[in-house]
Amino acid sequence: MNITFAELKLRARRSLVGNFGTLAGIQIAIYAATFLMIPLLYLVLIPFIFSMAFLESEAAAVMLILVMGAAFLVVYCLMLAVVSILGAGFSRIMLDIAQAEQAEFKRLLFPFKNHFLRFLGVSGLLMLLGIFSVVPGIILDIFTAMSPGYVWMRGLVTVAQYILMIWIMTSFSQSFNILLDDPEKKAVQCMRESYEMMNGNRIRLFLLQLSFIGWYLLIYLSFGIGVIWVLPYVGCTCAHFYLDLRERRRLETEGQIEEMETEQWDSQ
Amino acid sequence: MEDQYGYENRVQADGVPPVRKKDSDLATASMVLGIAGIVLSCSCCLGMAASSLALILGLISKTEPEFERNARTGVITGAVGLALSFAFLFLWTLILLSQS
Repeated sequence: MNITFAELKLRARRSLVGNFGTLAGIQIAIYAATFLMIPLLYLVLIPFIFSMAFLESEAAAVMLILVMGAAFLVVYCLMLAVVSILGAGFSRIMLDIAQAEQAEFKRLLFPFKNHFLRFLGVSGLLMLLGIFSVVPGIILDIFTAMSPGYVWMRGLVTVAQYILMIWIMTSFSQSFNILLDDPEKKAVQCMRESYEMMNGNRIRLFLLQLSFIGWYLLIYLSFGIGVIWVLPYVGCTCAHFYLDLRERRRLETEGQIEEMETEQWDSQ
Repeated sequence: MEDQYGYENRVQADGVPPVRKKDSDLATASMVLGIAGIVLSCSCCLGMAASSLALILGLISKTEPEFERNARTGVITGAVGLALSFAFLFLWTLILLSQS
């Protein structure tokens, strides 16, 4: 029997009591880190732009643009990596809170201290899968653009693309949580376990996420201030969802072991 | 058990007055913001922000099957404030359009 969304949300609200102050600080730290990195992205470009004035040949200009692009890409990837690892740290805090522990600022750095390359691996693989879900649309654009039935076909492919994206994202949504639970696991193993764990629960997670639409609307109406309370609420509900899945999986495994033991006992 | 005023409805053998259950800080903040939202609704943006925050805080403070009194007040005033803010936004837009 699945736990209802209302029960999951009630659990999350109960877990969050007394933690909002620390969580607000943690969120501000994450946003500050992100916003401080954006100027860094443009700072990389400044020396290249200035050196453009001293170039003599066209080939040198092309070379410089290529190097500038590469530098921009490297800094951008670094930025994404830091943000995704901080996101994983926030998930760690959410799991702590869901397990009746107090929110602690230092737990934000948990992924940095425990095999951070594996967290990067999961985040990179998720990003690649996200890109993969867009590929069919791009192929269609290349081959059928300007053809008579393009608009209808494009609409259908866009819908299919969204379905594929939701399927991928829900299937591997628990990868970070699995890795946070046991940082000794490999990135691919976490993703495989997440896929198995989400069998039969994808639509449930999608509907759970969809049930927060009203809250996101309230964030917009409060000019973003509401995010301080809503984001931990959503995160904590998802953490409770994961804990529920984990518990059911454990019970199923134990049940299977007991069945096997009983069969062995009977055969003897 | 609580009575209609939120006081614990049990017999105090030692004559100590009954203790009123304290509302959470979030619920109180929700009520304050809800009232502020109604007052500020004529300014649209401020009213909208205060009312939505009142709704958020009021709904998040619900840790029991029933709302706390302050939270309930916050949610109701927040919803009213939000509706008024939208009504004023519509009104101001109409006035601006008629002037231009």
